[in-house]
Amino acid sequence: MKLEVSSPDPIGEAAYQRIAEIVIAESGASGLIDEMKVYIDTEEPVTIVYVKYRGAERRRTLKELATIEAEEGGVRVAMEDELFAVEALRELWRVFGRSAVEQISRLEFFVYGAKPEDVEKVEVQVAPVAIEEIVGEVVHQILPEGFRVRKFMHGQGMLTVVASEDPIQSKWLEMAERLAKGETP
Amino acid sequence: MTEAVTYYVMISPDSSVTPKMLVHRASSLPYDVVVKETCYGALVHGEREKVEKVLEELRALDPPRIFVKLRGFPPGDPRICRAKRGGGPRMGYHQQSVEREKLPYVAAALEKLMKGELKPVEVAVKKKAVDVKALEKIAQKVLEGSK
Repeated sequence: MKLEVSSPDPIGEAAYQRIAEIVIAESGASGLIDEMKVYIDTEEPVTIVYVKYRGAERRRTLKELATIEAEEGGVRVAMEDELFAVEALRELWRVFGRSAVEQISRLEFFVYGAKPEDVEKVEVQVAPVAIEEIVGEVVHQILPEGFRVRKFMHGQGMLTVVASEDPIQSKWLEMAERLAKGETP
Repeated sequence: MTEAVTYYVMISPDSSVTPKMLVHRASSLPYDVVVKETCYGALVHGEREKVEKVLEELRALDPPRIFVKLRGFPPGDPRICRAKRGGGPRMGYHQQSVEREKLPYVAAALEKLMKGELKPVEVAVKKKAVDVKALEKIAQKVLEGSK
C-alpha cells in the first residue's frame, strides 16, 4: 500500500503521516487499499483524502489473500487479512467439504488431502458495499474531527473526500483533482 | 445545472442510529454529495436527485425514527454559522429543538402504522386565514409567559 501525506506545515504533515499509518494498521484495511493520499492545509482550511481501493475487483483468489504451504497430509492456509477470513473459510468448506477443512487459529486453516495449487485458485467473494464502508470508516477516522463538512466523490474503486469547517469551495475540488492525478494540490 | 438542495436529517432521540452512522452510510453510497455531521443527525447537500437517493438510504437505517426537512442554507454557510456570528444559538435552533423533542411520539405512531396496528385517517383541512386578533392574543400570551 502506498501512503503519501503532504501539507504546507511540516509538523502537521509528520503528525498526519503517523495518524494515517495507525488508523490504517488498526482498521486491518491495508490489504484493501492500494493507494492513499492525504493533503492538509489548515490555513484554507481544508483536508483532502484520496483513496484507491480494491473494491471493484469483487473476487480475489486465495493466492492473493493468504500464504499457502504444503504440509504433511494437506495444505496450511494463513490469511493475511482478517477481513476475508470468514468468506475464505466458507469458500473452502464449499469446495473441499466441511470435514476436510479445519480452522486451527483465527487466521489459519488446514485443508486435509488438498494440493496447494487447488487451494490457491479458490476465489473469495468480497462484498463491494462492505469494502466501501470499511474504506469510508478509515477516511473518516483520518479526517480532523472539526472538519465536519465533507464532500464525497466516488469513482470505480476510488473515493475522494474534501473536508472543511466551511462550505466546500470549488478551488478545493480542483485541488482534490490535482492530488488524485499525483500533482501538487 | 441541476438544482442544489440541502436537507436536515434528524434522528429521533429514541433511535439507536447515531449521527456518525449517518455520515458513514452516506459516504459509502455512490453519490457525490456534501454531508455534515451534526448533534441531531446530519445535513445533506448536493444535486436534488443525488440527495434524494442518499436520504432514502439514510431513512432506511431506521424508517420510523429518521426524519428529513428542507433547509435554506448549505452546510457551514457563514450567514448562519455560529462561529461567524459570535456564538449563541443558530437561527432556527429553538424551532428545531422543540420539533426534535416531539419526534419519539411521531415515531411511535409511524411504527404502529408500519405494523398495521393503526390505520391512516383522512382529515379534511379547511384553509382559512388566521384572525389577526387571535394572533395578537397568542403573541401576547407567549410574551407574558416569557417574562
